[in-house]
Amino acid sequence: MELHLFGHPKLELDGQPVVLETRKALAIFIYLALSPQPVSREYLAALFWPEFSQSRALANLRRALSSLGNRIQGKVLEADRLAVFFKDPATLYTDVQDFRQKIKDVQSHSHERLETCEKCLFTLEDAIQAYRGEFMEGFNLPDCPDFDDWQYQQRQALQQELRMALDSHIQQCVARRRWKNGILSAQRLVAQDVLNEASRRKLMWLYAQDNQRNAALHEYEKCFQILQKELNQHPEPETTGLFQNIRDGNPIQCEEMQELLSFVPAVKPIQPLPSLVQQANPTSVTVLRTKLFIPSVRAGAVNRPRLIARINQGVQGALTLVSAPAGFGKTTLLASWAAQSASPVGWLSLEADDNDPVRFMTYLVMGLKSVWPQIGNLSLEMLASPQSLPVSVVLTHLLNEISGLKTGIVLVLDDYHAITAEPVQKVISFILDHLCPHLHLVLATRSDPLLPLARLRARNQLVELRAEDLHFSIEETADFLNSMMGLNLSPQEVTMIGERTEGWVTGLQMAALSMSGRPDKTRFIQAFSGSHQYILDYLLNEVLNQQPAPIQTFLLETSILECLTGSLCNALTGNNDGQEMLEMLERLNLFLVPLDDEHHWYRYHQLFAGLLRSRFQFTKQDLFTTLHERASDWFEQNGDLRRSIFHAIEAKDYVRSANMIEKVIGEELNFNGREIIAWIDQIPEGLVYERSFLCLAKAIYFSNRFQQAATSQWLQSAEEHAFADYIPNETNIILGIVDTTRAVMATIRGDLPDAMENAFRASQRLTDKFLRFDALGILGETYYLSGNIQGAIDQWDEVKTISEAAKNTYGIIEALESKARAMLQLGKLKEEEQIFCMIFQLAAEKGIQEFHIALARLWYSDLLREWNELEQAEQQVSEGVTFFSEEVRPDNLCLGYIFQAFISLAHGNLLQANEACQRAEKICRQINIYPDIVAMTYLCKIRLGIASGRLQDADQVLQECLNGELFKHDLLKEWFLITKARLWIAQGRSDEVGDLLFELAKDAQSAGRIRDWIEILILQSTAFVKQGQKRESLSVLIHCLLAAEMEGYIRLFVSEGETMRQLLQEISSRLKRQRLKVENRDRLLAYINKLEAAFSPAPLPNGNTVSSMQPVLPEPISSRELEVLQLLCAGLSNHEIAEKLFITNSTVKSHIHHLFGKIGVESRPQAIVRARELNLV
Amino acid sequence: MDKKRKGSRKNSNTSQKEEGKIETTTNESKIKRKHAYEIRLKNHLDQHWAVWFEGWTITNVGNDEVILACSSTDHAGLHGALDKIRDLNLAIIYVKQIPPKPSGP
Repeated sequence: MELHLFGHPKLELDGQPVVLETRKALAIFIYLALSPQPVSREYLAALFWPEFSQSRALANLRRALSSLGNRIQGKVLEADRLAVFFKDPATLYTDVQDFRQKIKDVQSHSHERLETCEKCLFTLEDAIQAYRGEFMEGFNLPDCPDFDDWQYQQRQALQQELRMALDSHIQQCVARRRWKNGILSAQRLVAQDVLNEASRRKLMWLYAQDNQRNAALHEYEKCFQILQKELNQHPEPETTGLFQNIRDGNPIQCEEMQELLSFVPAVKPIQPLPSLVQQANPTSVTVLRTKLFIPSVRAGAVNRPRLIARINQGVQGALTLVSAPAGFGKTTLLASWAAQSASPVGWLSLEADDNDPVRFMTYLVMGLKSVWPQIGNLSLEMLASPQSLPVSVVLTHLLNEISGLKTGIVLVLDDYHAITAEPVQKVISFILDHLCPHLHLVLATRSDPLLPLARLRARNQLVELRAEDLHFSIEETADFLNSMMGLNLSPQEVTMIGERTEGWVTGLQMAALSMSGRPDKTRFIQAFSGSHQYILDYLLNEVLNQQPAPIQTFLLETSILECLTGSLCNALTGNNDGQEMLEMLERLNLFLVPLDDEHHWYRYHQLFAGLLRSRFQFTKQDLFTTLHERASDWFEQNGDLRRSIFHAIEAKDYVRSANMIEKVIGEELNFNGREIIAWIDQIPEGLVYERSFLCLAKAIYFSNRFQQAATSQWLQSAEEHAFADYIPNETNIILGIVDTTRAVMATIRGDLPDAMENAFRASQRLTDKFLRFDALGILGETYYLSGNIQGAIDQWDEVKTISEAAKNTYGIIEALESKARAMLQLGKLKEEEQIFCMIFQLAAEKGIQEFHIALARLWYSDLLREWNELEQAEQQVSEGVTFFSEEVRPDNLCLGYIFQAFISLAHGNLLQANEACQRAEKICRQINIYPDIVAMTYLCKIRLGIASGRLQDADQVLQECLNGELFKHDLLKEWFLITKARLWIAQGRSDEVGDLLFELAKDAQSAGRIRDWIEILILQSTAFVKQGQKRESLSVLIHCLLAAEMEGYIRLFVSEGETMRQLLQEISSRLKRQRLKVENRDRLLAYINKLEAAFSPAPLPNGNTVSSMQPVLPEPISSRELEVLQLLCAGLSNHEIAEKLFITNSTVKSHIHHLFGKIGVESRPQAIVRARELNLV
Repeated sequence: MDKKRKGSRKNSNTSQKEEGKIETTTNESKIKRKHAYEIRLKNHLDQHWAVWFEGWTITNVGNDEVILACSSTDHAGLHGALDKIRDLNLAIIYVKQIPPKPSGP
């Protein structure tokens, strides 16, 4: 029987096509054919009849199965009461599995260089030929969205596999100089993804090698056109460069192809270096290589082919979960699985410390790097960056990188139960949500993880091994006790031990150890079976009693260590035989696990260590403390302060712990580490209060969480003790940091004088580059907020100088960003743009990654908006904003939303503008961010209120702001007063704003805040004309235009709407008729022309033209709904929309349903009309 | 070099509105309130486990069972004990909260 799934699905029995009654029956058959395991009836019923009740769906399934059975004469399919499966998979041929098998054969065929094997080349060509069309082309079940999803995923995965196959085929052809064959594959590769330039280049290069110059050039043309059409982009420089070389007949250098030639996939992971501790350059997380070490498999370990096969099957999907209690042999099983795995395996042993997402991610990347050293470099850099990025950004990047690999990788996360922190669990959820065909996870855990297991199970992406799978059957027990341990027990004895240990591996192993060398095994077994004691207690006694006294003592004393090495053990026991003892324990199989290939470092099996430790601590509490002290000493002498602190805390030697924590802080001047706070929390508070450094660490911890009261308490005690234990230099540093932190807190509180005083004092006190950097930064900020822009620039210039001296590029960028903001206030838009250019150039030169300049992009977008380059502005802001989230830099996220709102307003799309503004406001309400950004949010809200004619709402917001404490800063006050004048003009109170605007103009001009000054003049001019004083109006406006022309302001004028347009027309006609005498008349005219062109045909409504205002929807449309609406208007069907947005059909339906409700329509045509009316498309 | 920077404006990445206190206060929410608990497990346990289950008393009962009891702990304490039980692969029969004695303050 044959099932053909490439192209339109076909089922054949002995060469004759089999026609099934329904398409659904065929779908069920296909689904089962590709499922590695039996599928439960419930699941099948829900998958294929999602809209029916379970009983009806099951009945339908029964009917479909019986019809299937009739047609194929029950030959292959078998169904019992619970599940359906294939009787003998071998009787069914499917082309998909054949294709996959061939590719697997090639991958698992190990040779030094892939391209030397002719057989593999043929297999590969066979596989590529088998792929005759897309998976199940033209087949779909409209009412089964989940099946639809499954089909889609399968298709994606197969396409990916085909691309890989084509890639390696091309590579082999290149190696054999079989250009024509390579061209065929490259053509298919291009057809698979027409926008992929790398494939295009391969094809062009191959054409050129085959002397088909014209074909190569033609290929470039096609590439050029399609990029232009689809993306409105030009080809990448490499593509163009290749084209030029081919065209001009120059020698062709194509690095990618060279790389292709030299590429040899690593079949086995490269084992980590033996050194215990290594700094993962450039991260700040110290990476313990031992955590990445794949445990070696003991010679005596039980072979469990059944379980290994299950895991092999599991790693075809996204997740394999090994969930069983302690001591069930999870690690051993996975280690022996890894030893035989065809795919490369990365390993990560987790512990409680890994609950920090950055640390976890760093290890995750290192685990992957142990297999593919070339990936993850950027991710590590992102993780090490001082600006914490949302983990999702790092992850997305990493997953993309993995997707680009030639083969898959399996990552084992052992002891996953140690992970309890939600952010870390989210990392794994994120990976599983973005099913990455090249990354398979294996989790070993004692508790089920908080992951969407049900969903994965439904998608067939999960294989589970649980306690009942791992426990030893009677046969395995017999095998283990008799063959491995050579105990020669009778079947009854085996059964007794099996029952008492319940197939628990650790119990079995301990029992075996207790028995070996005992003459009276039967008596032992009887006593053991009759005991009611906790089984391990009983067995540990027996095991220990078997050992000579020195070994017993050694085991107990060293049990306090997390990891063991010879000299460390010597330090603890006072003997000199550490290394020999460890080797002996390993030989005796006494639960010692090597952590490296050199057998330099070890750890005890966790459960065993726990048993020993508990017993030891109970009997010898004094010695327990002493030993921890010795361990702490040893680690301190060997330069591992962190482990030393751990043991000092265990020894309850808090003074010593505090000393060392201070030392760690003092060495790095880093108060911000998570582990530092975790240590401090374990030290009695009284002691913490006495240490200035520790108080400071607490204060900074709370200040980062914007908790004023707690911060100020800890700062106060830091200050007190700094004075009490006066050490000239150190005291100065502490006081300086105290002042800096106080300045930050005061700025957020809105207490500017206090902030300024503290920041100034800090800048006087601190001479150290890093600390001074912060002090000057915040001092500049206070100047800025008080409206002293030049003062702010001076500080930020110095920050820049310091950073340059320290070669701190990030610091330079930060200083430049701040300075750009100041330039905007000074009205020097051109200088502002220059600064952004410097930032972008610097980032490019130094290889600084995108996320460090994301904030600059946001501000740059606002500049572009002012210059009416709206498309570019939109691009910059949407690029920049992706790097921020509510957890990471909510202030910048908020800023991005504000800028987006203003851009939407410029487009005349009030609905989108309102939505963006609401998002910004939500952040301001939830989180305490800096006052200038909060102010900008409310200003934006008021502007939108005026633009949509909701003047009363706008007024209310304004009043609240003017009365708010936060907005007493001079700069912010100016912004609010300008907006107040604007609102009054909109309310028809133009005659009342004269004095206000006059005062504002005077202040702004004298302080050099030219941007504000121009806006004030514009408002003055509008107010005059509304009062019928046209001459005054025009004279102010000309004055204003002359100032604005130099810097090219556009939106400031254009957003004033019709009134401004008429005024400008008037000026321009007067200028043309020479009735106005100004210098630079031509330049001014050109400028006005430019302004007039920027007015949209339908002028924006301002406050006075309420009638033309846009309707505002009662309920905002979500961005996803908007996307759906836009696609719907473009004429796409539900199915097409689903494909385009990567969501299911039913999700599309529900979006459309909600949309229709929100915009009040009942049909698609109505929706299209309404969407146009609302300016949504 | 940059990583040495402490958290100033540009560095802060978490921020919540609630003002926290340094001292842990006795908040009377349900989760934080302390209760007496009893956990019954299979098999007998040796007294040396008292160090491991700090704050819990160990009483072997009947043929083959043991009761761990704690007169006052919060949810976090209970979960800590349950984790330790899990790590020893001890079989839990039940966990229950013991109502406070009426006479107690």
